Amino acid sequence: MIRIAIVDDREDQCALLKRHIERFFTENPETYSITVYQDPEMFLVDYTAQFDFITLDIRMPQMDGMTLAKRIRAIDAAVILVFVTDLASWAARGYEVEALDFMVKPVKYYDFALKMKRVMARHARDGVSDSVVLTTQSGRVKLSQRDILYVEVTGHAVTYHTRNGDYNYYGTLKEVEGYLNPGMFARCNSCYLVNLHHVNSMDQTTCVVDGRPLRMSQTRKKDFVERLTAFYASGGR
Amino acid sequence: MYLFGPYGNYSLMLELLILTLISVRQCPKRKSFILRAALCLAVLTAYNLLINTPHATDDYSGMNRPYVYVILLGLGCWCCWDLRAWHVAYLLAVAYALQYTMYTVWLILCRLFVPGFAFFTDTPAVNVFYALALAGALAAAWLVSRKNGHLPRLEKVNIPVLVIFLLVILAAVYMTGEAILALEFEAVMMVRYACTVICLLGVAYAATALVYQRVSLNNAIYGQIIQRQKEEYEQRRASVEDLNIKCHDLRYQIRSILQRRGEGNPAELRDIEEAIGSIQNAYHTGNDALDVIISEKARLCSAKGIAFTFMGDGALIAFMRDEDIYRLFSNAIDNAIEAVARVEEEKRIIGVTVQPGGPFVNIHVENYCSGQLRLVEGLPQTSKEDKTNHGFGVRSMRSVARSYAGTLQFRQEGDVFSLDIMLPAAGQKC
Repeated sequence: MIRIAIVDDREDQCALLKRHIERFFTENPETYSITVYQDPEMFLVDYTAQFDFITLDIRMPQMDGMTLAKRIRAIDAAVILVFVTDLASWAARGYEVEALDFMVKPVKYYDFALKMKRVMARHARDGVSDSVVLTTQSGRVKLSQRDILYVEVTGHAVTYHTRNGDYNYYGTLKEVEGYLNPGMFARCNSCYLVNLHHVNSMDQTTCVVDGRPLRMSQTRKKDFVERLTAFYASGGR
Repeated sequence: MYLFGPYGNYSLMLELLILTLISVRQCPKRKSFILRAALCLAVLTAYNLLINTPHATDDYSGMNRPYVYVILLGLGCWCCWDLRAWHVAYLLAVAYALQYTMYTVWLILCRLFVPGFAFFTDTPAVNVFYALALAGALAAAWLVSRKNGHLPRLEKVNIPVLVIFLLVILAAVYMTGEAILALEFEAVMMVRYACTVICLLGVAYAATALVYQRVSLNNAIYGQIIQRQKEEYEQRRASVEDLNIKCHDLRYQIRSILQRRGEGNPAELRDIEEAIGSIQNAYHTGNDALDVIISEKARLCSAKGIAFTFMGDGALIAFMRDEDIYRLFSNAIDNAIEAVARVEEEKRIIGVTVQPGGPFVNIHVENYCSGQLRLVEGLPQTSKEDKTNHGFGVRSMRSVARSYAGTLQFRQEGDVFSLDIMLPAAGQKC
């Protein structure tokens, strides 16, 4: 499910984007909702971080898209923003508000679809249910997946290293991989399952996770780098 | 009379033919290749039929057979593939050395594991060993000849060494033949072992000499390309600066004319500024080198009818040297331009972003493409005619990424191709 908002003062542009969105989800099935705002002020009054993805017109009489984006960011740091603009060189500074990308008017379907695929990748990465319930030796705990730094296995003991301390559990890394978001976790070694959010740096043999150097095996390295790249390929912190 | 297998009358010819074909497989073919190949095969077959008729005398089927094969195969290669004499000599020398080694291996296996083995012992084991030795020779030929597609580009070669190598192999064959006539089995084997060692050394020497030559040639070309890109960058920078100055002057002039006329309407002014901006098509990314390359490629794309979008913060790659930025983006975008030239007009779109991705800077280039991407060692294989030169673009990008401790990843999902370069954000040249 992805909740989309279109903010554009021109009705025809809104209708065009709406058609593109409908076509995109016919070709790439996924449930979605579209809400159209022709007035950015109205949009802001309404906004309570209820959308996953917003397209913003850069030039609107009431308020320009960049200002609107800054005000959205003040409320919601996570929502995916994409600008719609007349001229390509104007939107190049969209990065200032952490926009994912932009599209040039009149938006052509294939341009839209190219950017939309990246939006969906980002949404898949950040938008899925985040919390996970673990049965540990000290009882059941509910954790946010983002707070897990990495998972370590020694024999049959699995240790979750998290921001709030360590939790132990009996099982295998394979089981653990089953519970966690596969886009967010990758193995750098047969005994470490690393949260890609917390990778600080990496070299030929080690991967530093939240300041802790973990050994990286040569056999896992290629796959690990691939997954780390995929993780950040759609931008984001 | 055996036709195939270890004692077959046709075996030597077939083995040499297959080994030669493996070696030559990547070399450029001459025009009307099929016709030429058919003619050569016909000659080869005719010769074989001639020497294998029951009426043929020993003179035909005897000791000179190997040399006739070498000559026929050599002429055949030269006739069908666009090669020089020394290329052919090299290919045949390798094929012959491998064929010779293969028989020695077969003999060793038979003598070790087949009790009471002598020539013309025909048990299943003997044939299995033959198949094994043949498979080994084919695999070796395949490995040695992997890069033979480059052969025609190598101009300089140590021809005397090559000629000596070929002569040594033929001499080895000759000596073995003489030994068979004159001596007993053990002596033949001793000669054979010695000759096999010589053959293998010859193959190893010739192959490494070629690799060395190819690498040094590649490095020279690579160096030239990098130099050329550096010069290109300097030129483009000068012309972009020139354009910027002119646009700045133009804006100033228009503004002063309008003000003098008392018509300085702000909305009108803004429209004029925008119009000038679009002529200039200038990007201000926060990094001079990136401004130059992005503006240049944006203009190139618009001239080619490709929709180009760039979004990103040039300040993120402030740690990169200008020529590295130029090399990286220029190669990446050129490759994308080339890829979209092959898709329908409406899919000619290239998107480039430079964004933070956690502790990394992510440089992302995406475009539509046709066909299926083939990766070899993580690098895409080109569909360009000139494979050897094109590979440099991709290799150049990888070397830039690596020099900042970064990684480079190509991916294809359906008809979307993407390149992601990840550099540590606190980057430094290493």
